[in-house]
Amino acid sequence: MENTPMSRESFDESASRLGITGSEAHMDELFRQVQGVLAGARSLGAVDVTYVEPDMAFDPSSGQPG
Amino acid sequence: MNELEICFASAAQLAPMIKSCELSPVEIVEAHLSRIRDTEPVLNSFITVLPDAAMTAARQAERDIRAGRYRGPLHGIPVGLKDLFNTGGVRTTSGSRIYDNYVPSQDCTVAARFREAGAILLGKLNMHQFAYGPTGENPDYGHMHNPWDPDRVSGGSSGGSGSAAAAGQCTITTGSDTGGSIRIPAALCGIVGLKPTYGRVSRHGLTPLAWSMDHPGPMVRTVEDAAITMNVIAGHDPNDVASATLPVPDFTAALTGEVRGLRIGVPRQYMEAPLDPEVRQAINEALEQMEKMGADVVEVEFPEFDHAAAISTTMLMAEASACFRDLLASDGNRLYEPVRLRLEAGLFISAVDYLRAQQARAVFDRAARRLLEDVDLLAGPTEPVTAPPLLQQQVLAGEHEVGTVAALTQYTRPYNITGFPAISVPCGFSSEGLPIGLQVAGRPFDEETVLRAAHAYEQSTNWHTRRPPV
Repeated sequence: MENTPMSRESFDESASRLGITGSEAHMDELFRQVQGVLAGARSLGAVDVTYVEPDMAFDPSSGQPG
Repeated sequence: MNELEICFASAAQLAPMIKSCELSPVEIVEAHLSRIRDTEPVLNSFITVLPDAAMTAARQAERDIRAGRYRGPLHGIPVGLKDLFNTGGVRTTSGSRIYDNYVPSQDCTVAARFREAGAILLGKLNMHQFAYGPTGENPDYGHMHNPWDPDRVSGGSSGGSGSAAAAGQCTITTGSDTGGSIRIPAALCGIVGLKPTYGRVSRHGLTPLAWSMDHPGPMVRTVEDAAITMNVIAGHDPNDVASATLPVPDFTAALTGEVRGLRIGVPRQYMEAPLDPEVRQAINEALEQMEKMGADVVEVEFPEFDHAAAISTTMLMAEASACFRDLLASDGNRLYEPVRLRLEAGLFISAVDYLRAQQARAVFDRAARRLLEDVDLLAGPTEPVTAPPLLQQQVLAGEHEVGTVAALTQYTRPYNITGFPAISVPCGFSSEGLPIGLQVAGRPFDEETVLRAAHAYEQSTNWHTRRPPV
């Protein structure tokens, strides 16, 4: 579990804090999905974002590329 | 024209007949209501059908046109709206029984523009619950079914729009597209679906899924009808903070039938991703056809393509969970389980992860813009597979078994990240008789070139003239 983005213990604590409850099967599936989502998010560490500010939304007024 | 011919005629074909009083909106609406009665038990495209209101509107349109008050090419044309477009006085469920009795007091901007244009609302179309899924599953109002094979998905989230347009239940439908929800059902149902540039069509009055990636647009049977619809629904709306103030062209004027001189890039990454061989063949043939017509088709590199899924997923899930956080707390146990799980999973994305995804989005957007300095358009498959069987979790794309959600969104998500316009146009059928879609994307606010290329290709083939067996 050390290589997973979130341990089951941390997941259970976070879920409790977020008010998420459900059957054991539901929580197991949610845990599996959260691993995937966080792994995807962390994979963006491979993108070089040096000096790049976040685009909060595509700016429609900018018109053409360039 | 018999009833079935009326139902499969385009708005471009019907409009002159309506204008000249050769065909009455009453006949047209009656034909469509009959078609809906015949096919709805199989397709389940609608959440709400409005036979009485539609007939009343059709009779009014007939009177107006006979009195010389013709409003334009959508006057008297039957329209269906995805059930997250607010309609004044008509319930809008967003695909959930939680909103079974929600009746907005006002039209969304798109519905208002259709109404002003004299279009006739036939009803509200079924959808993946809260637009949060690409297959067209809905336990509350029943799953949507593909007109080419009802055991297969219509695609989503605008699945009812896809099946209704493909089966001749409506002349024009609308969808919304956050990760592919217009283009996916368009490709899987064999119709045309245009995701316009972000900001080109107002989102005002639509139930949001992810504010920075939601795009409303037309789903129709021909590219010309997409252009006609855009002429009505596009344009600045002060009620939408992201609405563009740029001038709106006459989109139909772009349909010259000519692609000569256009430089079309085919990202190498598209063809290296998991891809069904029959889809690959259809796409290659479509590209060869465009080359024969005079386009310059070249392979290009899409540098950040491999990060599209992670950027899109992180942003979409975080924004969707923010949109629906209160609903999740109050009615989480009434949500469709896969939708509930996605909304709950999004709560685990930190602000830091979200902002990192936004930084990566900026990098992705710049790379895509640079790519479109060298070519006019990007083209490739809309979908790596044809419509999968209902509720199937995995699909086989070539030699790769891939999760259905990941597969169906692999080519569509990049243009939700950038906001660039992208269209799906029919380009063939599999050996099982299932439709295949070609995706063409262009520069921001250059829907004209996207429509021009898609129209020229469409008119050089007869894929769009085929009718489903239902």
